[in-house]
Amino acid sequence: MSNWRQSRVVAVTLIVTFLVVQLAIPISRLFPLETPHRWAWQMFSRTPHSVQFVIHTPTDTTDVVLRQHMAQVRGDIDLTGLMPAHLCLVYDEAIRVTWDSGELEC
Amino acid sequence: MLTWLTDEIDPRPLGLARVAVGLAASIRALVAAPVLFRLIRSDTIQIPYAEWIPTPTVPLVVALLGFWLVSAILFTIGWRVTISGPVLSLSIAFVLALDQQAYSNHLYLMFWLTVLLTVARAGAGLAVSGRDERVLRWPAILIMVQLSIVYGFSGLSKVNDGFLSGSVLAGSLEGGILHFPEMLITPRFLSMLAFLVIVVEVAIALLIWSARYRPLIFVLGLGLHASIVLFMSATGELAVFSIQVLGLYPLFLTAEKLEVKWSDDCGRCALFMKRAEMFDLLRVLDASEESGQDLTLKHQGQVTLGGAARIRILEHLVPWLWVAPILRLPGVRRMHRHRHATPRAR
Repeated sequence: MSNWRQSRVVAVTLIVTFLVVQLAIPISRLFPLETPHRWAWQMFSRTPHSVQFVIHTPTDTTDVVLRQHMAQVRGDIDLTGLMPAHLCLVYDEAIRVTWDSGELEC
Repeated sequence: MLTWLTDEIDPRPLGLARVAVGLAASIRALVAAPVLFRLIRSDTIQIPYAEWIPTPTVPLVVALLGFWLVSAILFTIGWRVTISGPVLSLSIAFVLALDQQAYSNHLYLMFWLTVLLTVARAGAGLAVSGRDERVLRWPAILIMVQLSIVYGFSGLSKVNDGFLSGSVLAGSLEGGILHFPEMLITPRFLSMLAFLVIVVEVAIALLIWSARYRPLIFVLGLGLHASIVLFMSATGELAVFSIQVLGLYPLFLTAEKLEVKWSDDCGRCALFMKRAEMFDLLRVLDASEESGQDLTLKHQGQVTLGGAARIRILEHLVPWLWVAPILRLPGVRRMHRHRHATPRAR
């Protein structure tokens, strides 16, 4: 294949990939409207995921400050799947972690 | 169409975009460092996209930041962009892939811009080598499309009850450089502001392509970015975003030269042109003296004189191009006209 043809193929591949990624992903993530999604240019556009975790020990309960357990608190991450198990690991005395819509026995 | 896309264009606007994105990337490495080091802490949750992605460690983060910072600086000065560009793109891609918490829309945009600027051979203009070589148009068009897509989807995704009610804005207008006036934090005002933000973002996405509305769009863009940097939290990240985005605006300016004629009899014109040529980073001026002429500009088939010509010239000079359109606003225009009128006209 000549250099000219090769460069055309590279150009067309890049243009098509760019347009597919840049249009298909943001369009597919415009709905649902409630929470923000990544890779879709949704800057400061929606109410972020917000959840309050509470750690229960045999003697006490403590509200979790998310900032202390995250590299960066982001509104586009649903933490209810992973954070409770992480809190059970980090807090030796925890017997249970609860949040608005559920709980996990440690 | 294909011929137009594969035409060669002046590399300077792309070079300027490269400088802006490179500078933003250099600062962004410093903004990312605390986030990446927090990922290493034992009490920080890790949320990888896949199990095979390496766990962040101190040597990994230090190496990553080192590659990022060095390549960003080299990219900014335009030194071997064919090498510094891919290294910078890969460093950013690695950070984005490392953990879901490392994601940021601005960083994701930076990834695409470094890829596209590398493909566009953005090192061919305004680089340390000092040599300008013409480049293909199509990658520059992709960068412009990217800008429209970012503004467009940012605006469209805001069309929802939460944003339009002003509650999302209320949560974001905290911890900025300036304190947002408390008397304006009312549901009614924030709701109006939210609507305005959507209109501005969608207008920028569409009208930045129109030569007629471009000056207005530049002013709106500058206003939008200045306000988010000043009033919203995450100032560092938003400043980085604004630098890289505003740096792309000159790509939309027409490549056609500005034919300027003036006479030495007009002292102000000579002084203005002397200064203008100092700021002609994009080499758009084609100036010549002609006796008996006041300042006359011929551009895109239009002839403009005096103060109006000065404004149009400033709209093509760095850094005035981002602020000069303000001079077109009715009240400001009157003041400017009065200041630059010849004594006889006054």
